[in-house]
Amino acid sequence: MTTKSIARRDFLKLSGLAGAAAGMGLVGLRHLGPLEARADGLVQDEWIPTCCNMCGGTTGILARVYNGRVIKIEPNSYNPVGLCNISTDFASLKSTGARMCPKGNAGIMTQYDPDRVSQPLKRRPGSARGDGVWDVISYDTAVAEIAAKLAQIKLDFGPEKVVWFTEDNTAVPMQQSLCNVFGTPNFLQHSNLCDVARKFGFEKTLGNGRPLADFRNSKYMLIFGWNPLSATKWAHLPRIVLDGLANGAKLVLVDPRCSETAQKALQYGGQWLAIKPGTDGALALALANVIITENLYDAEFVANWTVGFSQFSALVATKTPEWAEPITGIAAATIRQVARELAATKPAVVDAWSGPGQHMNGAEGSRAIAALAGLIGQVDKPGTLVLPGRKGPHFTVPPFVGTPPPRVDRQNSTQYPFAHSSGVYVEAREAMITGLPYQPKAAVFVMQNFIFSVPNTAKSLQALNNLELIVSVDTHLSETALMADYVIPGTTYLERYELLPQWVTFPVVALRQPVVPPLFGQKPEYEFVKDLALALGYNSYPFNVTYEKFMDDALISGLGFGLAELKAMPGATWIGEETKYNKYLTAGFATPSGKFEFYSQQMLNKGLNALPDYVPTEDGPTTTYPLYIINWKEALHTHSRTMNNRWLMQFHGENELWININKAQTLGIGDGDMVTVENQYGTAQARAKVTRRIHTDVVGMVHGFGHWGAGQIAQGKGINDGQFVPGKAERICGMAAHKDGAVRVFKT
Amino acid sequence: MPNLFDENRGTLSVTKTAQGFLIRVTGTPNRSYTLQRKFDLNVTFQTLTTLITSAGGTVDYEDITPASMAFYKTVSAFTPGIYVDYKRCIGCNACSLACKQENNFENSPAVVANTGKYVGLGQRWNEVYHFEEGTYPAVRAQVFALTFTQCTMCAHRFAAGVLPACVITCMGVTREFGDYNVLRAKYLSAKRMDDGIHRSVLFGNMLGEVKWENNPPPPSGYIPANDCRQCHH
Repeated sequence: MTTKSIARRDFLKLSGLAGAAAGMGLVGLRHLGPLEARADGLVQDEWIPTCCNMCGGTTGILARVYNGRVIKIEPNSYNPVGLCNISTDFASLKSTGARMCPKGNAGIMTQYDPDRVSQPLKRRPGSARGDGVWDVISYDTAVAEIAAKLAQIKLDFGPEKVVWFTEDNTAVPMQQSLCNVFGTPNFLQHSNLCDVARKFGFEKTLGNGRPLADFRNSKYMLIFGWNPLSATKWAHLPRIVLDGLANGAKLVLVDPRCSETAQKALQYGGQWLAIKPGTDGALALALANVIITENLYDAEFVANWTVGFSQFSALVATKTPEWAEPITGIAAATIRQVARELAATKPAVVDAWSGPGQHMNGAEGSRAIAALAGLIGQVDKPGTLVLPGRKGPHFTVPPFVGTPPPRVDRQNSTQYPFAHSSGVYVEAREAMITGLPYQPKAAVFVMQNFIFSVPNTAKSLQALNNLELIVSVDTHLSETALMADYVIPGTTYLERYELLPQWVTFPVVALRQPVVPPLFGQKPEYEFVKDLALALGYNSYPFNVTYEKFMDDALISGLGFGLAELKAMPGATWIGEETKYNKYLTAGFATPSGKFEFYSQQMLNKGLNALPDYVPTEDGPTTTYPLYIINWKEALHTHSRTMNNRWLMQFHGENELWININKAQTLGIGDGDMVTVENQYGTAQARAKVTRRIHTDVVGMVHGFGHWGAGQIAQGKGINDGQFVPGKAERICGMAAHKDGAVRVFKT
Repeated sequence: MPNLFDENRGTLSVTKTAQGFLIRVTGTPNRSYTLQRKFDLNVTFQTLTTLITSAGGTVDYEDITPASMAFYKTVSAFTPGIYVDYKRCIGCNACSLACKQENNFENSPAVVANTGKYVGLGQRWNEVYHFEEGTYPAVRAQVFALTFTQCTMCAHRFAAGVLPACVITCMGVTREFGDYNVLRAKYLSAKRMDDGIHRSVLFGNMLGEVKWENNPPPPSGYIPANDCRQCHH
């Protein structure tokens, strides 16, 4: 044969691989590490470690740059997120490689999305809010005008009339700093749109609002309304759940929908409990009833480490499985069977997320679920809910100047007595409409699509129309940006810095760093905030230092090393000490009593029920609107953020309305038919998906579709769930009740 | 002419044409290739070279990329394959998106490895299928990712000593990459599929038999509309 000369690097590889191929396996095939990647023949430029932000999970990634463009994103095996959440698992699994979800694999198409906002925009004078008629203005002009208008509002009406909203991954300390010196107490982050009910439930019982399930080492998993195999916040979740199942764990998945996780439960010999929406608290109390009545609880843990067991026992004494059956739709026999298994199998995980959480009874429902973990003594041990050890950077944020005025969202008041520090979006919106407790004049949205993220879309539009000034910092002309007076081009995660404590059970801090310069030369969000502060006349720390210095100071203060050291660490990830268990044995629980609380005196002190009694949720089916409407998340999409990503939309470009196969038959609806979804709040069309995988009386869809803004790919695709719900806030913790609503459905 | 494939593949012939070498497989769904454009990963390089030279031709390394040349020359006894444990597959499409990233566009890694030639727009060779049956609430459902024949098993990555893009990203940790014959011997009950599905992908732990009549498969050799790579079959 004729051969051309082979390049030297190919020759070297030939000799290296010859041994590997001679025989069985492929020795030496491995995952790409950042330093190793330089040596391979493919790479011309570099792989840069950073953290994804296609959702808020911040999975570790490596981004490859070639000729100045990001061309590939792969997992970063030096960052535990994407691998596991337990330190011993991290050590043993690291060589198998961290993983990444489909959205992370589609990050390039968000970075180079042609519909990205490239220039600062000002609403053309004379045009109506929401018309989307813009003039391009210079960045300096935008900053100067915004600052002048904010200053004027402060002068005329008071600084608290400026309400600031942000997703909480993007420069929170910088924004908090500006709000503090400007004088507005109204700095809100998105958690109360997400999972503050879960946080509340676990905080009030075991003193930590952020426990994490060690699925991998568990033998029994009882999960209420969470779908870790598709609503996959961290890319390690599927692996650790599947490993647990492969090792013989039983999974019982409670959800109105046979989610991807429920599907796997069935495949591995577990169960799907098709529950009625908003009734998880009743199921939890009935399970407790069985466990206590049949003396199956962990007597040692209960005696030594809990308070209020006798009161809790009295509460659940009447909450029999027969009581729960008509409420939940779960057979009494099934409730008994699950309760007995749960109590008898160790280690066990009891967990919940926003399925039970996002209802008007979601806070107490989550607390009842959390109580189960204490009842069976499965807390802070391998294979159970583990309380994370957490260390992180400490940002020096200037204190609030003067006495803070009352918040507009009534957090820290008698209303929402246990509201999360992120505030109450629903109440802030209410103030914009009613003027109570006072009328906001301005809103600043940084990476926040308020219109789509707060349930009851019509109300959100109404609220924003009552404002004098709206500023939106966004990568796209979202529905909220369309309502703004000024739009500042945002950055993607590939273009900016962040310091990210990772949500695993051991202390980990990862760096997000720019992989490429901002595509349009725009400034990262923290620079915009700083420029705004300077224009407003605030030039003390942190506005008088670079953002790198602000981060450097925070790292040194919190962890004892600086930014340069973090960058130089493998995968730009700092790993702290190992996962620690049974911390309560020495330190107790971080509750007022120091113990696991079935009974909460602090709640009683605020006039609330000390026990997590079951209260039915609100706004459910009526004769006119007989179907529950719920919504959920999936691996291919995030909130309302990803619907303009061309690749992700090729895989799921329209959110179907899931309807039960038997219900569909009675309504004469076939799979793929266009149907009308309607109630008193709205009416819209959707494509029906007829399926066995949803409760008979429930319809639902993936959240976040139905855009009219955001970009040409997103527009007109699918249906927006938020238009059908009253969108109230749960009264104890302020959780937005996305999942309380009812509709009727008929063939269009 | 030696029968290069197992009994399910039929025979392979090589004919010299004006455009190059036409490789045809007979006895199975009809596939023919033009050598300049493609290599068939079920054919070892050594055997292909023998076929071409015995048909009177020469093999020019430049026509097949340096990366794949390195792969074939060294590992002539190696046939890449992937075993997928479908009990673990969650149908998330990370594999599909990883394939798309790896092969998608100008300056994607596959193209960079292939000396910068722009091969086509929007390619990827993974697709997720959902099946369900049973009566509510006794649902029986399976979700799984299929890999199509056009998949190159990331030969350009293997040449660099790294695993295929789909394998490294899979959140369910379902995929094992290795020599096809070794995998086949290891996973005796694993199945292969027809209808355009890659013949070196072994399906493990399928939940019963896939009933195509309830959920029609794609047409033979189907490629999603946006992903046609203008290949010649």
